[in-house]
Amino acid sequence: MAFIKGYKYTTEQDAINAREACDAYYGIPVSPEDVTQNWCDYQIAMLNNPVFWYIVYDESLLPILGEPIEFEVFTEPMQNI
Amino acid sequence: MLNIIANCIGSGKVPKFVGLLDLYPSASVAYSLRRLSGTYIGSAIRVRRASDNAEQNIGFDALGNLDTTALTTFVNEDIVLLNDDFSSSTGWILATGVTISGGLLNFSASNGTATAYKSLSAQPSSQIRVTYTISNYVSGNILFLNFGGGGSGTSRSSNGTFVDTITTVTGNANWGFNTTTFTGSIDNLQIEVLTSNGFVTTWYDQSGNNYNSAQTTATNQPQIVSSGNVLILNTKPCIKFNGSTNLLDLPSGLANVFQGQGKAISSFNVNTYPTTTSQTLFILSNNANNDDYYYSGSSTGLGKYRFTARGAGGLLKQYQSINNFTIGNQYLKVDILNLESAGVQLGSSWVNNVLDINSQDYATASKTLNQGAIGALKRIVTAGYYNGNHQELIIYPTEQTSNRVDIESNINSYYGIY
Repeated sequence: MAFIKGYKYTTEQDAINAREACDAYYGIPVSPEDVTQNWCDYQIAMLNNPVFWYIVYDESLLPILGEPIEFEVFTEPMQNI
Repeated sequence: MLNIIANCIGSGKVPKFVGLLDLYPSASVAYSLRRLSGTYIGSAIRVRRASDNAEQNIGFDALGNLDTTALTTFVNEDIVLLNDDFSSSTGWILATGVTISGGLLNFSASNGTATAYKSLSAQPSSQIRVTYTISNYVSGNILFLNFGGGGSGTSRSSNGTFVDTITTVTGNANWGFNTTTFTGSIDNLQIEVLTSNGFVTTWYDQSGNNYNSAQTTATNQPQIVSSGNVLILNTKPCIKFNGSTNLLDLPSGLANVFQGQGKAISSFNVNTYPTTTSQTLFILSNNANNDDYYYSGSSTGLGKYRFTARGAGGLLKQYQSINNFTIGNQYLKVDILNLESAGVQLGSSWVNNVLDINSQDYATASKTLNQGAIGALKRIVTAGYYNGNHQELIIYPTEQTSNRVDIESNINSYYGIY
């Protein structure tokens, strides 16, 4: 289990929309041949019930996504990796 | 210099570069911030600069070092964020009583404390040059600042053209003026980024196999230039991973090399010991299950490294350091696993040429490997982010026991680790 500071979404589409808003704000990609294709990425909390999607906080996300929240994400115990 | 062997001295020919891969060839992949091969003619890294998110490849200098001059020149190229003659008020957020008219930004003392700002892009830890002209000055003070971003200029109280150089801290998207009983007008505002930050989008594979590691998401990219300066570890450039979002993806083709039953693997990695337990130096894994992987990173006991092999069904073989290591110190970590034979796959590790894991059995069920990462435990989901610095990672598809000391010596001669 980990406490994550970030942005939590109940559907994957909401997470995609948030990512696209960040891309638009920062003008990413700057050019089509650039390696950088997104400003931020989302992850799935697949061991949580119900499953949700989230974006980890970064200061650059504040003007687009607003203030982050803190939430729990269940993960496999690291001693078992 | 170290990697130059002047085998043509006296002949008038240009000395031929000889790198580690020329002496110890057939690596599956080789990432480094130095040139590793005389036949490799590509770049070391591709970098995104934060000022305008442009990208550029960065290569090596004549001695095989990372071309830090090209790197800082690119990252710190002057970028104009704003050049505004106030012919339009579009995008400006103006306090009550503040106006944009007649090609000027106008303040009146009757508004007391007033602001006018525009949302551009945040420029954390950057040096910014701001130029503007004050006219029609009557009273009060005006100050240019990055609102909430940790940088401000000099308070002004007269007509004239002024230049402020400010340094941001966290950075904020909002840039503009704060006034105190100021009556006057502003014109010709220019905001330029002078120094910035650089992030690695791609760490190129010098082995010739084209297994480049890359990160397509900006906030996940590790850093190599901070506040205009190349990040340095023990006099050499390094790539800093932030421990929360940064990783470089390894291609499926590389992972495929090591899948199957007990393939041999030898990794040579220059890194700093992570800030806490269970942080990932690198992993070769599977995107559809959590069972199959090779992992190198810190152990569950702080101060210990570990190497882990896990196969289908989740059979876990992990062994941790005999020795203790210090957070943030630079180390050369070597993991060598033999080809599995008769159901046994012996493996050992060395750190700074000292035995650290002594001949353990890493045999598991067969592994299906199709992805990997530097700096995070990437499986179905990603965790175990690395907070530390990488400088070199070379992986061979063979056990390199007989070459180990010589390869370590080559690496240590360059990096001066121990």
